[in-house]
Amino acid sequence: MNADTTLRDRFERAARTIEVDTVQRLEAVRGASERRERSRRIQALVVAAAIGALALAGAWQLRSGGGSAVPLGSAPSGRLVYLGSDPSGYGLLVLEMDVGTGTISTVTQGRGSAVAAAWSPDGSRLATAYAVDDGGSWVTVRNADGGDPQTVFEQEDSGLIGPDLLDLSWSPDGTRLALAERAAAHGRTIVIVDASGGGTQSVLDGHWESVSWSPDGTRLVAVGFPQLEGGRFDVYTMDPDGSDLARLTDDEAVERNPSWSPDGSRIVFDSGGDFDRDIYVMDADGSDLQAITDRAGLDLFPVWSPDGAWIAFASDRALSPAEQERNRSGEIRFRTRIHVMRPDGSDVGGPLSGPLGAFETTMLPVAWAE
Amino acid sequence: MELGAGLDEVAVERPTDFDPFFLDHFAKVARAAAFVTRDVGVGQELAQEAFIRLLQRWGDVRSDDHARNFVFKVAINLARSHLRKHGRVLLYGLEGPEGAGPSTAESAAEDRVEMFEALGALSPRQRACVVLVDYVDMAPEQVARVLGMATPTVRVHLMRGRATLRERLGVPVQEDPT
Repeated sequence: MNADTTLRDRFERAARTIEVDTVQRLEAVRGASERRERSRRIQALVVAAAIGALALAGAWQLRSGGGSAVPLGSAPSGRLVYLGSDPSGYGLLVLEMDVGTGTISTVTQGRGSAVAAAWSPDGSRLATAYAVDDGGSWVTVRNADGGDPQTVFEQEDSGLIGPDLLDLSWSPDGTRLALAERAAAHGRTIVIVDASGGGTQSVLDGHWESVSWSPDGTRLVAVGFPQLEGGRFDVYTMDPDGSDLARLTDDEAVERNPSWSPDGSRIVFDSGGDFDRDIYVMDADGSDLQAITDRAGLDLFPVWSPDGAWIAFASDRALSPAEQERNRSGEIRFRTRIHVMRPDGSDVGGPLSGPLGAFETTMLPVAWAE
Repeated sequence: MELGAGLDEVAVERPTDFDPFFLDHFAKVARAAAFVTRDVGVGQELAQEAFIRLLQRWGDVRSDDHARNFVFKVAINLARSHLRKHGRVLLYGLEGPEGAGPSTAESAAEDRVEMFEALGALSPRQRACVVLVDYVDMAPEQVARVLGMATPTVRVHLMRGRATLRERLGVPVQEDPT
């Protein structure tokens, strides 16, 4: 479909009457850019000094050998699904990494951007959630080898900013999916969907952005708040029908991405501000809260290994200081790599990446299977 | 924190320097943003903001095309945000923005006033699609990437937008060039 020549002529005629002082604008762009750069550097240095991040960064360099992979002891293994930047366009792909070898393969590629993915409990199927601006959201379930894809949930575009569907989690018996999806202008509801494409049941209104089903099937953990407006993002648990809501955190920070340990006794999540996030673990009743990472920068998207011995997470700790600083500035294309650590925060290893494409930037782990 | 909506693109040629790139492209971006917002001043402000963001990322830019896609993406998204902030009245052209009405028209600006008024009959998405294809000369596939839409959606917005625009401008209906 080429340009319409008649309309183009009319646009050109109209454009000639729009005067643009390009030289003056160039000076304005240069001046504004320098001012922003200065304030950004100052802010980054103040934050780093306040929490001792400069010392931590030095320690990491010694430990990691400058960002290359480190020996992991009793090495983690399995198939780790993550969301990664699409080198050919905009949005996120679903990719899979062999944790033992670092080999990466693309799992799904299609229209829209992936927003979440999860292995079925037996590792045989992968559920992925997608969203596209002006095109709605949907959930696809496919076999581990990519075969037999089925759309089990679809929602029209709400016209509001941001993806309407944000997270999904399998029930332990593999028959249902819990979703956090937009139901109102300022809210996202937790809904339960039949994994074979059957019915949909809304179980709890409010503003929920993350959801994860407990391994014994009796509870959901979710992040958000149970009203449409005016709440704070905290961690809650509830029965799968939305009853018996229990608030596990109560603070000003924004929690995200909760994930149950395989034995159901602990919950890991990330918390903090937009550009400074750390990873926390607590008991399933909210007690014994511990920060297991503590640095200025991004540690986020924690996922438990199937045997419970490791936690994979996204981090910018192995990136250059310039790249880390750019992450904190609100850079659209922020950079993270995947690392692993013990559930107490020890034995941090990584990055796990094998050979990366030149344009691969964001890596966010979302699901780990044997 | 916005994920993944970035500069990535497979291209390997190094771009020109920022200043020549700016001088070559700023006016086109400013005018495209002006068409989408139907406001000459706002168009230039949004284009300026888009180029500030581009300059801050200039080290990541792979090619002139790469930079061009980025700067149009930012400017058009800012234009759509601007329209959202100013409410539905402005969105659908029930009330023209300041400076677009006939009362300010001078004879030299009649073409612009007429175009702004005609564009007011299009939805913001239709406007963005028509401006990027028929003024900026992008292919629908490229527009889809810049706007974060599916290509068929772009084509639908383009067809409907063109039909309305031709009618409003009094341009004879012709077959859509394909």
